[in-house]
Parts: sequence; structure tokens; C-alpha cells
Amino acid sequence: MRARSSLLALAVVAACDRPQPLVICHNGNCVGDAVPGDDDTLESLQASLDLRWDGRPTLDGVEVDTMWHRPTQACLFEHGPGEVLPADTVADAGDLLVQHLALPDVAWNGDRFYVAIELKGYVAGRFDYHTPDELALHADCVLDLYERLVAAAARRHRLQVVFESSAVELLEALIARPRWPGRLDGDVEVRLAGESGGIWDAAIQNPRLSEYTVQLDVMEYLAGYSYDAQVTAYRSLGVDLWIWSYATTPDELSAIEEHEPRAVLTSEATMLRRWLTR
Amino acid sequence: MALRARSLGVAGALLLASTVAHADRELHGGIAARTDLRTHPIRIPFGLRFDQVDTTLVVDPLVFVDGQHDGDLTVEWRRCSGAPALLVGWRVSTIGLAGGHQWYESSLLGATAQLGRWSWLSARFGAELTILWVKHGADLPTSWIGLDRSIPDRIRFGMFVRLEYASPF
Repeated sequence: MRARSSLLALAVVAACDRPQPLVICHNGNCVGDAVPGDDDTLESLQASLDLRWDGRPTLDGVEVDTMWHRPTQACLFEHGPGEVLPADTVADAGDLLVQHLALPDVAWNGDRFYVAIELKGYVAGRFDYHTPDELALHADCVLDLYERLVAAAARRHRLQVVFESSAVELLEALIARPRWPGRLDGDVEVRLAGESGGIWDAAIQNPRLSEYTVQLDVMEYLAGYSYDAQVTAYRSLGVDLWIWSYATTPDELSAIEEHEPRAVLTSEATMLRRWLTR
Repeated sequence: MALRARSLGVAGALLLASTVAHADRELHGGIAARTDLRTHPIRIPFGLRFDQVDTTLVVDPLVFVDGQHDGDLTVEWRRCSGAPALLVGWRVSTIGLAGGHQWYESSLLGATAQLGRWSWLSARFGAELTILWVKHGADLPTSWIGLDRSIPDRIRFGMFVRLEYASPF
């Protein structure tokens, strides 16, 4: 009888547990407004890495956008699209991340720092796609970043690197490179992620779930615009759920409570952290 | 005899319903239910109707569950009794954060229609377009709506049903 009462009490308490997703800074910009001109700049990335709440780093990790830029033949730290873009490179962003990993305290969770590396599917304008050579150049660029991060974190911090793209051919090119480390577990985890914009997928030409030819570990989807059936399908794959949004509204907060995602990609990390710790 | 009494009862109920439906002034309150994620699913509306204009305040008991309060002030206008009504209003959602509250202020534009009226019980259906204009408070940067890619996140369509006690006064 006492055991049953204890179990009941435990169940009641457990039912009241709040989800505690990882807070990942969307587009390397969690300061100021989430406008494209402010995303993926070295200034916003550094300011976001520096955010602290309650004496700890606000973030669990950060997302960096990478773009192989055909007009300049450079691997840019950039959201794009565009013919003329700022010249900040992925190597420049890597410098800031390496410096961050040299600090003693790098993530809110106190255990592992997360870096989501997005590979943009365009090389200049919105509908300029990679040639086979450019696919390899872009894949090598993000693998360079990965190797630098692993070296910087070694013997200091645990690390998860998520390679994410809505361009299936980029994920295919990535895992085809001889340097591809494979899915790793342990101090360094390596994951592959697909992306969904929910009801906007057809308009922005994101692949359907059935069109991913690589095995996904993470599915990122736009909270507030995804059908329950889509989320159920992601769950059935056994992948980690990451939700993302541009503006955090009560929709996203409700989605966090309902879907209990593993992580949230947000531009409003401080607000979200304070909501999670309320 | 029994048939006559029942007929009188039915006639009385119809008369009462007719009186209520056409009352110039009315007090109402009850429960509002909805399915969209942005606003709590169950809230409590109460208000007053004077002729064609109905003013309603909606309060949110689920604030005690998660610290979020979604409050509305709406005005509905109808051409005549029983006709669909045009709805305009303002919603203030308050989100509890560590160290403060953030306020979300949204305009409401929509329409409502009476689903049924049974003596003192009224059922209305409503559809509304919500635009989140500004977020502020909790020492966080104030964020106004702008012509940027976050606009779709700030505009939502919602539907609701109100079941209310309504009585002339």
C-alpha cells in the first residue's frame, strides 16, 4: 500500500516536470533582432557566446550557417543568399568557437557544448545550386571546422557537432568524403540533421521526409507550422526533435511543452532560458 | 391535463427565450474553448451587451498552471439580434520568466455567430486573426513587428466557441 502511494506520488511529481530542452543559438545571433543582416556575423556570434544567465553560460550551443560562395570562391559564415555578401569566413567563425572552447565554462548544461553546422544549399542567388566540385569544397570546409572544434575541445569539454542541411545532395557529399568521421558517440558526438519548415516546405523547396537518402539523427522543424502528423512521423523515426523559430511566441512555448524536444534553436536565448528556469 | 401543462411549459420557455434573445441589455459569462497553441485552450469570458454592441473581458484561469495569462478585451457589433457580429479586440498575454514577466500585445479582428440559444444558455462560434505587435518587459529588448522574416510567426488565425449564461438586466 505504501509502495503504491509512493509510486503515485512519484508519478504526480514526474508529471509536473517541465521539459528542459537544450538552448541552441539560431544563426549565431541571440542578441538584438533576428533579422538576416544581423545573423551570422562575427560580432553577433561573439556576443551570443558571451551571454550569461544566473552565473552560467546562457547557451548550450550555437548554430553557424555555412555557404560555399561561387562569386568569391570562399566558404562563408553567412546565411545568404546573395551575389555580394560580407567576407566573414567559416574559418573566422571557427576562431571564435575555438576561443570559446578554451574557456573553463562553455555550456549551460555543464557537460557538453553543441555546435550545429548548417550547410546552405545555394551558392549565390536562391536558386543557384552547387556543382559536384562545389559540393566537395563545401563539405571539406565544414569538415575543416569540425576538426578544429574537436582539437579545441579535446581533454577540456565534451562536444556534439550536428551537420544540418535541407539540401540532401550536400549531406550525401559530406558523408562521402574520406574524412567523414561517421556517427560518433562518446566525448565527441557527430550527428546528421534534416530540416523542415512545416507547411512552408513546398514553397521553399525543402525535401520531403521520404526524400532524405541519408540516415538522419536529428529533425529540425518549424514550431507552430508543423502538423501533428509530421511530428509523429519524426518521432516514429526515433530521431532527436529540435524545434526552431524566428520569433519566440506562446506558440513555441506551447510546442516545447507538448513536443518536449531535445533542443530549441532560438534567436531569443535569454528569454527562453529565463522561461525554462522560471 | 398533462398535455395542457406541457404545452404551457413549452410556450413559456419559448416566450422566455424570445425575450432573452431580443433583450436590449444583457449580462453574459461562461467558458471559451479553442484549439490553437498560441492561447490557452480554456478561458472565462464575461461581459455586457447593450443593443448592438457587446463588450467582453476574457480572463485566464490556466495562469495558475503555467504562469501564462491570456487576457482579451473585445467588442462585437451586430446589425440586429441574432445576426453575425464583427469582432475587434486586444489581447495581452503575460509570460512568466525567471526575474520578471514578458508582455505580448496583439490585436484581434474577426467575426462571431450564434450557434444556438436555449433559454439562458448561449453558444457562439468565433474566428479571429491575431497580430502580435509588440513584446516587452522583463528587462529584455522590446521587439516590435517589422517587415522581416519573423512576420509569419506573429500572425495567427484562431477559432473558438463560447458557452455562456446570458440574462437580460
